[in-house]
Amino acid sequence: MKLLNNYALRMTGDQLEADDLLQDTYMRAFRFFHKFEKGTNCKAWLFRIMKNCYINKYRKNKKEPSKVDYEDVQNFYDSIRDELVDPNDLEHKVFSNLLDDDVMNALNSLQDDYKTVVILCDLESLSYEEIAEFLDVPIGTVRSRLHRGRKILQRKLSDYAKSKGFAVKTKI
Amino acid sequence: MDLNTTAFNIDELITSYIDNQISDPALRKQVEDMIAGDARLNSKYKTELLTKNLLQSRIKQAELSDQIYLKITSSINTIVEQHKQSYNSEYSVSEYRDNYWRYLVEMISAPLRIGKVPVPRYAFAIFILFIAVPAFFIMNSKESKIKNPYVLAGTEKSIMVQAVNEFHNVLDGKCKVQYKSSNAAEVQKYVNDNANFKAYVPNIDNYSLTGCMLNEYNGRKLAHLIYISGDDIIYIYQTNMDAIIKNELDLPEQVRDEIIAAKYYMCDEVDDINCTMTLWFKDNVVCASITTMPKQDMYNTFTSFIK
Repeated sequence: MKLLNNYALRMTGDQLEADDLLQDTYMRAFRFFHKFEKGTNCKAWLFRIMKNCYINKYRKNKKEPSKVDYEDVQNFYDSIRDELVDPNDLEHKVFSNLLDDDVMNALNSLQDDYKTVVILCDLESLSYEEIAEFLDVPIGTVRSRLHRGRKILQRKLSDYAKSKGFAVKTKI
Repeated sequence: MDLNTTAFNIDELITSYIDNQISDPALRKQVEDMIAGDARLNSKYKTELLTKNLLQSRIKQAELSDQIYLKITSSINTIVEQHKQSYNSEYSVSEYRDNYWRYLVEMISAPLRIGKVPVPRYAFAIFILFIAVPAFFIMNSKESKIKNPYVLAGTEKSIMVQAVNEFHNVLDGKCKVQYKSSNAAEVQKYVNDNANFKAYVPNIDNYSLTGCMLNEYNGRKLAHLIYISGDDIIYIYQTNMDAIIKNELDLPEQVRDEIIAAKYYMCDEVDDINCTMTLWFKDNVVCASITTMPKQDMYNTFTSFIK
């Protein structure tokens, strides 16, 4: 329940909405428990229910479905893929000057599919195999989304720092 | 894994290395060597690792509050209780229904032993059915003896219906003779004095007059004469014809027409015991006799006293 609670909070960004999402997930899981296949991963099954609840309810309430436009993401990623930043500058000039909220906002600004794998891997410490099972996607997709998600996040964090006057040199 | 791939795949391998997701030691060693030997890859590795560490250090784990935990578990408990109640009630109804039908089938099909012969219980039901159905038809056939349309369709105002009912009251002992006399003149005087109409009290061969009763219907006086001969009885209902003219009592038009034409109207099948009814007018009096005699016998008797 703790993992789902964390995921709900990261995805919604609001404690009350996260509570509702968690409750909906468990209620739905209980009602449809007969559909759970014995011997399969119950945690993954619960996670998929939460993901569907999130898509069906939370996004409906927002009335602005957050769809991943892979072409846009690909273009953006391609533009930053070969960007190199000095790790020392990144650590001392960028990350050290960011507030926790900046980090949270950067994470929340990721597209849902990227945000999900970053949360599950970096914050929940799940393996690629577990994430693949949770999301019902190949492991390669998990790896790819994770790499791109982190790269985009790094760029966003650099932009935050830049907006605060802590710019770092990029080497292409 | 083949390392002679694009930079794109090498970047993702570094990601796997950071997340400790490369299980093959040889591949892991190869990636480490690449990171160590290539400044560009080394930079990518360090920046991605820093990003990962930043997320882990800056974004705190959310604590699951006891409140939301209790809210969820109590909601589930509520559903469980509702399902339990629903299941119990459904089960008990279905169980009762199943048990009831099973019991019924077993009870009906379980054989009874008459001597050494096993006889199914439903055989008794069939036997009773064979008895009850004919009995039902026999009972009904008795009722169907009333075939006279004027009696069948008559209301309580009908002279014919009143005559039949009063006759049965006499037979059942519900109606007692008020004025006892075997003298026709005395009875006639009694009726004249008390009923305000001039009654017709004939002497009937082989029958003795026992007396009369008087009563009223809608203020109209009615007289009832009784004649007896052994087990046979002749009952005569009388009232003033004025009652028909004033519509205080009914006599069907067809019956009236036949009386006028034939001097009398005679019919049977007017009650369950197939009595014979005869109607005639005498001066201003309407007479309706009922007897247990068959129609032909009544005709012979009637023609003997009617002049």
